[in-house]
Amino acid sequence: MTLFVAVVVVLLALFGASLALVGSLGLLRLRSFYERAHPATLGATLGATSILLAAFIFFSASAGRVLPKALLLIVFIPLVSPVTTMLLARAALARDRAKRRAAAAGSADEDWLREVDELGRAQAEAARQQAVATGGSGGGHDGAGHDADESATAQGRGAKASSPEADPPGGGT
Amino acid sequence: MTEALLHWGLLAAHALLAVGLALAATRLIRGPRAQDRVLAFDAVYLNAALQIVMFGMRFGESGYLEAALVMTLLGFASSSALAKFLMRGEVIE
Repeated sequence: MTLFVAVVVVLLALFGASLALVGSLGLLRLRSFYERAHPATLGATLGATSILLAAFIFFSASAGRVLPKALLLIVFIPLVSPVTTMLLARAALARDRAKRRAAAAGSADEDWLREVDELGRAQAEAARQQAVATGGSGGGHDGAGHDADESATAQGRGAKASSPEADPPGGGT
Repeated sequence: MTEALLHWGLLAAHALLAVGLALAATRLIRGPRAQDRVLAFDAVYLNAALQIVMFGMRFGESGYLEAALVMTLLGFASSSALAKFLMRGEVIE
């Protein structure tokens, strides 16, 4: 293998590897999912193509004949990687729309709704606090020493037995 | 000269790929939602396949290319299955 071929192989490999590194860095640094879907394709298309082109040149030069195995990968990887990204983006859009609909419909105590982005979480939190405020008007959340489930049981007892002892701690403190 | 250039250059490219895999794995662990994790999983898979190609170039074995091809196929199948699972809630319907 001549020096020129080695220089070309090393430059292509370094270029592709640094593109993959930049893509992974963008995957780590960017904020939302829809921004993160972009840099992941950077290393998948141009980075993978240049690294596999380096491998094709390297193996063909060291074997003395054309080895088409790397060309198979060059065709395959940039073909299938955007397909995966598009499927994933469509799935994420469908999930986001379902969550927005569920948050708008007010079913805020679903378990998967709690891992929404900030908007959906704020909506769910507001709906829950409003439900607590309207449900527990007597022995509500102004008691400083009571946490949430204790006041909830006080509410349940108060609703059942017309609250003779649920009212004094709320009014006393 | 040529040997040293190939050795150190391919080692540097391999190190860059390893750092990229570590960053993608960090996103895989930290990712706040399931689709972030699937995206990072795809990036980890691709970085690992490129590292296998780089192993083949450093050791002078062209058989590593087939391993990378199989790994890419498996990564595509698992990533699209995970995306379908996120969309529908089940893989085979």
